[in-house]
Amino acid sequence: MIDVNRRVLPGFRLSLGYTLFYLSLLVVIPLSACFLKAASLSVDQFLAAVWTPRARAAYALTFGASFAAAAINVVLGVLVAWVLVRYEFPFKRLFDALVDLPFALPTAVAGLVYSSLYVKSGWLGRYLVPLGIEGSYSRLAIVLVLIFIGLPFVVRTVQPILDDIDAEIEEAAACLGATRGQTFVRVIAPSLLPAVVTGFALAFARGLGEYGSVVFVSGNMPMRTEIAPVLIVAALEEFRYREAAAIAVVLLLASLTMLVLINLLERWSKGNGY
Amino acid sequence: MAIDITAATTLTRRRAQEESAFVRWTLIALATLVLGILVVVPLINVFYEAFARGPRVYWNALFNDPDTLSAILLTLRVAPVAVVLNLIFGCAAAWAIARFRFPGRTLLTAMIDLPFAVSPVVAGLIFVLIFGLQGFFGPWLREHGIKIIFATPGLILATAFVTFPFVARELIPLMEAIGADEEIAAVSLGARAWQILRRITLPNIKWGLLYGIILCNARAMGEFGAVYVVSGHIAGLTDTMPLRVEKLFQEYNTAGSFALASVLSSLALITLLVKTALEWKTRNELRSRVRESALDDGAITGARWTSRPQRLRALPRADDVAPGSPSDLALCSDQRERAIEMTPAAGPGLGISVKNVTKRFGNFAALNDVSLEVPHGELLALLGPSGSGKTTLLRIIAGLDTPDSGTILYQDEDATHRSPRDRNVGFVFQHYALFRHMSVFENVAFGLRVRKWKEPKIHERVHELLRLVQLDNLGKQAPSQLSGGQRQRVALARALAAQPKVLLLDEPFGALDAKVRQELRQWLRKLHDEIHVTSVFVTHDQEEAFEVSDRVVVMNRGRIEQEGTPEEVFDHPANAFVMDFLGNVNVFHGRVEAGRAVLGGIEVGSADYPNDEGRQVTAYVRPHELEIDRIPRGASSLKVEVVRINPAGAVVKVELFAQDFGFPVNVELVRERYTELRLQIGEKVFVFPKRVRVFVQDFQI
Repeated sequence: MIDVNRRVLPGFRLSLGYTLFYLSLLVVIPLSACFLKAASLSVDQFLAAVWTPRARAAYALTFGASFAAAAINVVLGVLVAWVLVRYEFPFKRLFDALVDLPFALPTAVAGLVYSSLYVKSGWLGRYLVPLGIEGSYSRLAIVLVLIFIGLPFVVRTVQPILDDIDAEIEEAAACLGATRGQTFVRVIAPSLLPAVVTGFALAFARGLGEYGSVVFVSGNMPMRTEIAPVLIVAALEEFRYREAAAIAVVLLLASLTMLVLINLLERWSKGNGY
Repeated sequence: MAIDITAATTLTRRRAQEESAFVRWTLIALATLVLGILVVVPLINVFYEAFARGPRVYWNALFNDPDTLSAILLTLRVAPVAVVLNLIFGCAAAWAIARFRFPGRTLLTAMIDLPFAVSPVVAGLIFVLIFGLQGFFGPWLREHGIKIIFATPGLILATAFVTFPFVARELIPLMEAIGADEEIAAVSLGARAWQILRRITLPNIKWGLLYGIILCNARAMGEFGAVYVVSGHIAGLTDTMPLRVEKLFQEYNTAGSFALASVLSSLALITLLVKTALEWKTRNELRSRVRESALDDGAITGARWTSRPQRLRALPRADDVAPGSPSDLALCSDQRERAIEMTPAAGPGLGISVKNVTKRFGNFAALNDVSLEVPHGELLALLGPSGSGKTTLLRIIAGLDTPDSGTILYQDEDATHRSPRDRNVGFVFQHYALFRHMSVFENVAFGLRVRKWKEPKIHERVHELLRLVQLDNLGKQAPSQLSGGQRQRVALARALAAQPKVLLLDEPFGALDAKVRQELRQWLRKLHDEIHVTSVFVTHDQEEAFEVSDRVVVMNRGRIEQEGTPEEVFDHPANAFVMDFLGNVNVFHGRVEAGRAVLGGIEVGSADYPNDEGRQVTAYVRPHELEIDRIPRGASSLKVEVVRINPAGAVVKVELFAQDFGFPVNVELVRERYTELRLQIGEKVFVFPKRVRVFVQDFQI
């Protein structure tokens, strides 16, 4: 069937040609420009731009916070997906729809409201701040808002896979003498693993690049709560274009690596699917 | 996210093994708490903060602040342009990726995900580096007075970059799930590119497309990072809504920032609402489709018809239908008298000829130098096991595939490189490929509409055909409301509508149950006697081939093994493959000794094989060509033991075992002979072959 369609169905050249044209104009050429700009720096200059203590602190915070948020999202996301797939309860459809809110809500709004919720006078902050939990203008604030941003990625990756697991498989495990707990650990969890890892990677990648919500909640204090994309904005505001490009190249390489990883993971989870 | 069709079909099932109510409700409570704190509380907080100071403050914050107002207007200008750009891109990319295979396809698909991984700030930066004052085109742009960065074009570019995956990501899985069958069917019915797009593809993907647009729009209006970098924050000029939210926030104008945030949140809620509604719609459509196909086949016989006697009575019965027959498929006498205009007048002689056609898929030779002639008006069956190349040959005749070498002639004209449209063929697909969004009537009318027939003529023709396939009263139904047998007849009517020169059917009854299949076979045969259109159909069922066709072509491994009338092929199989493929056989292995075939105790023929002394032979005997006796009939009888008897059926099947030689023998007896013999299990008897076909080792199966 592979070559059949191209002769039978029309529009192959036109559609592929336009796709490539659009992508080159919007993506390939601008991205190459970024690499080109960074390449105009010497190796020393490049390192001086991307490897300052301030930059290292920003990378560490970006990676650390994204990792922590994605890890927490794995637990929360599997819980939400499990409840959505397995149980019936009132307002389930509303519940299901709300899971996608972080996907549709502008990040600036998320940042705005998260920063107001966790300050001392905020709805949640008034209970948390007296306990010493600072959910605003802190590293915790960044993790919190990244959990919000990343939640639907884990839920929506795990949900269809969980839905596809055949009831008979669990029944077979039960007939063979497994307890409910054993069935979950030995039968369900291994089938979910690829989806969970993919969901984790998606949430992590999203966290790495997130800007809008984080600048609202973090306070952007250099060395403490400043994330990597803020470095680029800071460099731009001082008209240090080449340094900005250099940091962008570092972030781009990180996100391209994540993209390749996610694609490999998706292929893996498809291969392991039912 | 994507409307997941596979997930939608699995309805919530009750599990036999489920957690206790306590565990279940604890988990539900925990999940609700998570969602409540993460999503619901913030959402309520936005609206609370926005309205806390009363509606007047809210109104003033939104509409009496000129900078806020201009931000709203700017967003309303920027987002639609980005959406339209990405809509065109998304449709093109989805068509290329979901419908074709080409090198680099995986890479291209991965590239579409790029904005998900790239930080929006980086996305903004790359445009600044190109179009900014110090960028690559900066000096040139300034010279010509064009402003991109810190102006609307830059905002559009950055927004388009960040949101370009959304339409494509929505459409690709949807189009892959729908499949290309309907579009290929439209091609075979003569539709041109834009007709396929407008009449088939767009109606099928409209809901996914709508959701893609809405999601793309929500993200475009809400984009922050990329726009932040290219905007320059000129109040009243380059601040979009999210940027204005940030500026008001920095100015400690809580009322203003939350008022604007509430507008953006409402947009997000509308997006979710549309998504949920569309998912609900898709799911319901799928559910009804699943339900329909579950009751499906067989419904056109018995039950449905007897429950609607008035319809049954309205149909005049043909003379030769046995009284009380449940078949509604016999052609009616009034139709028999109508001369149904089918093919352009063409004299006797060649309908189609296939000359030396070869087709390879990679290393696999699907067709190997195949030549075939189909005389005008003949009904020919291509019979063979799967992988024998029969469907490939049919598709090449239709023009849905092109041969690597060889030619296809239609009435002596070379048609090898003609498009399916120009060949004027009717093709009936194995899984019908009915257009799901069109009524039965519109399905049949499709080939006429794309050929620009006049409306009254279309009506006349479609009703004529619906009468022919006896579905005249179902014209307004959707294909999903029909049974399998009815869908097959609609597919046939659709293929016949534009008066094709040739009718091609790919395993036409393959997806139907046994009883409906039997009826449709007889009906197809009668239909062909009626309209005499040159027809070729593919089947792997020999009974079907024999029952329906004038002539049978047996294929195997890309070659034609034998062609002839059903009788010729069955009674005089050309080789061991044909013999073995057509019905059950007993296989005996032996050698040629003194010119005679000696097969495990049976000697056959008198010195028939003088030149093959000592060679291996294989003999085939059909179960009904073996006789069971209590006393041997000379050297050709074989001593066997009765192992099993299956007397249920038109013939009695007896399993025997030749202990001396260690192989089983199957015999079919007519009932009279079985009653006469009174066979007992374990009894020793003799079998005598009435007819043996011996093939000296020329073919191994």
